[in-house]
Amino acid sequence: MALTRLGPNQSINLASNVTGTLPVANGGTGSTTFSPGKIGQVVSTARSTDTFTSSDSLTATGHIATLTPSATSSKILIILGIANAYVNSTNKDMVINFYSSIGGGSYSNIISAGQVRNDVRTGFGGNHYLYSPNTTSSVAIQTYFSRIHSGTGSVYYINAATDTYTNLTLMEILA
Amino acid sequence: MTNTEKFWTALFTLKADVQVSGSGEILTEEDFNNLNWVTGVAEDGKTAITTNTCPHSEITWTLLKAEMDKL
Repeated sequence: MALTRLGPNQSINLASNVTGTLPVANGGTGSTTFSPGKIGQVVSTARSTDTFTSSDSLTATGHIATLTPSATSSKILIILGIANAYVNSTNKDMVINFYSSIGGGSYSNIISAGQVRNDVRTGFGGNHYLYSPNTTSSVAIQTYFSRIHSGTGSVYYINAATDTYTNLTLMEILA
Repeated sequence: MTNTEKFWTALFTLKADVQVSGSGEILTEEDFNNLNWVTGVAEDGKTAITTNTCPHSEITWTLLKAEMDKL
């Protein structure tokens, strides 16, 4: 990289006086020894409609976010922010899972996102998961939910409240 | 009592602890026909098999509406 001696109070014109690649140690991007992670794209869907079940097996909430990875090496960071879940007094727990559909196929379970436990009748919370779909087809992520631990009655993925939204966000993490 | 609470009370009056999923308020026959009734569990042992056609003879929109109107 060419260097220019500067006089007192003289500044460098970055557009015309700098050539080459600035070293990483100086804030540049010239590294060949590592590949820093980057956010490729972000999608988010907000939902506020009452969403309920009395099922003991996992059923779809209809809350879906879809993203098409730009490379098979990309990962998808799934973030769920639950605004207002509800387990009524006659139930034990509610479980919420992440499911995925690749290229428009049927949904299959990825992992449990968590539970709203007994004695927690209303609450907010959430979880996140780093998913490796290994595809460049569209990836739809949907939450599924059910009662768990021999409960009776109904549970709510969303118990609607004014100006309250449950958000499902996907970030493509480039390799 | 909210409309959703009326729905659950009326539904469980017709058939105790029937398994169903849905969203929004159930106020019309169209809403009723969009409910997902659980009929079984898939091979993964986790996921429900559902249908929009109510498989329970004890439950119809007319009977459910009548129970809801009592509340």
